[in-house]
Amino acid sequence: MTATPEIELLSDPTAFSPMTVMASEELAVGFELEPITKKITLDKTRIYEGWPASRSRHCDYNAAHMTGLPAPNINGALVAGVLGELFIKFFGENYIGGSLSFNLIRQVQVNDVLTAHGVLKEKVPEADRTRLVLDVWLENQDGDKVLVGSASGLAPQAETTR
Amino acid sequence: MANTRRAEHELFKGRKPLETAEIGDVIGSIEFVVDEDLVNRLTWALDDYNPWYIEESPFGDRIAPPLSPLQFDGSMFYDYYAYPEGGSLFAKQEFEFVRPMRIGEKYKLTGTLVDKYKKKGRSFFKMGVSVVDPAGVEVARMAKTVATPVKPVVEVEEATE
Repeated sequence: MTATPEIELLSDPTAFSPMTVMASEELAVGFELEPITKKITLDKTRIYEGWPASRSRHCDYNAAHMTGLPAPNINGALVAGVLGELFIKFFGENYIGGSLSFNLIRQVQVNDVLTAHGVLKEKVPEADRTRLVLDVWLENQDGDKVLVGSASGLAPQAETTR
Repeated sequence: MANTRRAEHELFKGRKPLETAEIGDVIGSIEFVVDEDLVNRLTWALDDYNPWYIEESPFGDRIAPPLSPLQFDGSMFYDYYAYPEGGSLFAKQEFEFVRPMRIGEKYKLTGTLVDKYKKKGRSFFKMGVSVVDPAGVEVARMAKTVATPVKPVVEVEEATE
């Protein structure tokens, strides 16, 4: 009788993982959020743009060439999505009542690896709550900033932060 | 058939030249449904499988990623203004989140030009946007700033003799 070989079960690399430390009024100014890193592949930009039905310079080589680009560059809206993930993971339900603003300062190319960062810059009293204000930015694989901005949201009320 | 051979400016319907843009221009409205396809595309594109988007959220229903309206506001701008010959850059964005956007709901974006300025060889145009649900209740406020041309114009000082 032949023994069945044991199968090593692999974990899903895309499985959702919450942020270890979420927004809380106990956090100190200077606290650094857990960064989030994503590689923006051609497949990803094509999914985002709805290729092949939609063919823009962000997902299609012909369209990119017609606008003078050597290859597609990544839509700023997709780039910003990496920051959106950091924002909602940190503030949780309190993204409602929150704000986010950013400048896109460098183009992102296919296969760039982006990392979203956030640092608690200020804690502002607001009624009986505390608003957390963050500096946020995205860096590429070379350490160049591609997006810089700020975000804010209310910390959970004290009884929910135990 | 897919638009395989269309230049960027041909993807939009806008006719009003940006040179004639005035603060207060009512850029228009666009309605969209946060449907399964949209949310699936956003989650796949970003590898962001937040259970709030694909299972359930603390708001009682599944919700859309907060930056979902970015799928629509740029095309609204260039379905009103003519896409500039020198190309266009997405320069800046602002959001205030008032209520969650729920999957299956129809929302309406309404945009108005709220600012324009020149800086470092480019012209910037800022569109203020309100996002409302079918009952007219605001769910988000946004502002998008686009810049043109892609390659900044080099301002040459006139030579003086």
